[in-house]
Amino acid sequence: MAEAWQRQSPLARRSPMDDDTGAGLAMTEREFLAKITVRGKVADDAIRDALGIALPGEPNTACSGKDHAILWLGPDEWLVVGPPDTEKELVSTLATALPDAAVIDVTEGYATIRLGGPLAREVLSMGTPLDLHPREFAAGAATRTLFARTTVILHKISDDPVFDIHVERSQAEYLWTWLETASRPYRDALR
Amino acid sequence: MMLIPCPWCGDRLDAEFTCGGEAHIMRPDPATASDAEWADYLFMRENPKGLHHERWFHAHGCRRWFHMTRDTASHRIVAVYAITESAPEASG
Repeated sequence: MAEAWQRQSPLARRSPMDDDTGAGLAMTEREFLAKITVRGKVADDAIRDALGIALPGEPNTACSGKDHAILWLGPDEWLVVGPPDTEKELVSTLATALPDAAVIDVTEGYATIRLGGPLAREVLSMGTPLDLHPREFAAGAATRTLFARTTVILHKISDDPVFDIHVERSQAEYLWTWLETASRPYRDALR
Repeated sequence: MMLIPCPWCGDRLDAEFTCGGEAHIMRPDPATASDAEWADYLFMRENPKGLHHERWFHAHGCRRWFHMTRDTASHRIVAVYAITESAPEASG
């Protein structure tokens, strides 16, 4: 982890997009969430004991608890997301609990954008052919996918809907601007 | 645009995938293979118009390799099977 005084989010200079139009579209950054990649043999029981949540075994799913979420990324790969500034403890907890897995702290490598509101799905649909209808992509769905030409990890937090988009740090500003541009017609129309 | 059914993730945009070329190429024993056999293994690939067994990689998704049988003329995907499996008896 970077020293606290020199730590800066790649989106630090971007102001959040409020739902000032009443259209129901808001975009904020979820700054410095702890993000840990886990690869290898992971026992469901061990994860349950360590974090109190189940391990998502099915593709395109995630399991969320009070503080943590585990996202299925591949048959032997998961992303564990936790509250800010907990990555050190999280790494040691997971490394102890999962001796047969690689536990890597990727907190600084990813930024997280939260997009919420009734129009969120419309905006996201411009960037991916993935079926984001709640019937197919319900709350708790998560996947790594190509979005607006960049690789993102898309996680649907709730059916309101609220989406968390984890994106590589170097692509964060690009994606933020892309989402701003994509939302503009909706915001303008309702202003 | 083409949707490719990843055996893990389901239907995804073709841009998420990387094609790994012809599948099921067996490496001959370098001690006994003739130059012609070795050259065939290294360089020569089928280029059929019709059914083709290929390796594909879901680079922007689950990052898994898998096999796919695809019709190169119509892009029709005939079969998707695990990277450990051998080619299915392809038909139509």
